[in-house]
Amino acid sequence: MRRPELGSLAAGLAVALLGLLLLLQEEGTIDLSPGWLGVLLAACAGGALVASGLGARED
Amino acid sequence: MSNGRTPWLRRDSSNAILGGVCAGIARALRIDPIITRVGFVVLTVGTSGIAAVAYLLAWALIPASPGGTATARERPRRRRGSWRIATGVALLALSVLLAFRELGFWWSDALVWPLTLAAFGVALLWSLSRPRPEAEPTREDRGAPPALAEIEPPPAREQAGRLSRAGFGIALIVGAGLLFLWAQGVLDAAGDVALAALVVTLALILISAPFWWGLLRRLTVERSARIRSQERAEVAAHLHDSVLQTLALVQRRAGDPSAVAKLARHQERELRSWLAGSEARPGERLADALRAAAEEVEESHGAVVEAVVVGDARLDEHLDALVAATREALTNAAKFASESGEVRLYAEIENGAARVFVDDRGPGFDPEKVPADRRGMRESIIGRMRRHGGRAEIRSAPESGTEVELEIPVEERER
Repeated sequence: MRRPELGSLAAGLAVALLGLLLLLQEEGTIDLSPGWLGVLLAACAGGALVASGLGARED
Repeated sequence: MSNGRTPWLRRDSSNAILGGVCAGIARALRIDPIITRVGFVVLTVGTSGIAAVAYLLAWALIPASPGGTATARERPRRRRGSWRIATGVALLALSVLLAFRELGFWWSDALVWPLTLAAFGVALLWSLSRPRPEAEPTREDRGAPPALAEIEPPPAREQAGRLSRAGFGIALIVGAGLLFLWAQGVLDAAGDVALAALVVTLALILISAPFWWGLLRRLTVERSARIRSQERAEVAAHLHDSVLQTLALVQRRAGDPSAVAKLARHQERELRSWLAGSEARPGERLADALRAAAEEVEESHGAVVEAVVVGDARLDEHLDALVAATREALTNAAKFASESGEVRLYAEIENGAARVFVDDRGPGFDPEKVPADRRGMRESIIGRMRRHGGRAEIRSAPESGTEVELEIPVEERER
């Protein structure tokens, strides 16, 4: 059984969270301004990259 | 244990313009990379930059093709994932700044963004200014003649990488200054002066370009000549230390054919290894460990073992077991069949598995009639391979030789 890659897992979760927020935005449940959307995009991409980089170091 | 399959999609670092994502997708789809690159640019424009963020994510998440962008020299120097972490931290810092802006904790766009850009530029330049730590000798370095490895300057690719990073850092700082001046309205007044300065600078570059080009060419030619000369000296020294010494020993032991054959085979292996630009690392690499096992059996049993190994992998506990089982099979072959001719070892490490075949033309035996107390075959070969997730098959019959086949999966990322 292959050990799960924590970096990829965390990156996937970050992208899934972003997708969920965008879905809620489309549904009208939450109201994200373009500014906050930028914050989310940068935070998710940054989180995913950091997680992936840390995962690569553990390999 | 993984199934050993190679991922369908990998970044193609050898054809990369940025991170090799477009080239990797093109290779997976068997189309020209220019198509995916144009598509990416169109997507980036069409999605107001969201495709660029997707590119960053793809770069982080898609594994690089073997022999990625880092050269063998760079690898020990830079820890894995450093660039991903640095870019990620930069993006997180950007998100915090944007969040502050949205929340109203903000001074002024004219101050914060230039400062941010300048900070990244300074950080980049500062990281380049640190002294380069001593790199561990790489496989290529160890294989190359020592003096040559010492005098050789950093590879052109590494130098180009450092230059481009320095250029990017300088551009960030200059851009930050220009952004600040533009936000203050100073740039409008200085526009004419800047244009004049730009034209003069371009003219100076054009005038002096032939001189710089000639200088660069002369330096390159001199450097090539120096390297060739060092290389010739090293080859001569190596031939003296190895081949000539062995020939002298051969003359002295001319009366002992077995010793002469052993010397010749040892020298042949050493010379082949040197010509291939590698140094044996039997404690780290499977191919070297198998060759060392063959040599060991040859030395201890006086047999002739013809070893051919295709592919390689980093040793782990499972591959250690494969080497031990191979050594046992070689020892059996050398003990019982060395008088009937040479023992052959063939190994291939590819498609996520390592397969080893040991065969001889000896008297053979009936595997079903082997006594239960013969632990060599049952435990040291078959049992050992099973315990480590592999398999062993022994094909033999009286008077028809013996073939031992060993197979074990190889972790793809360990190769």
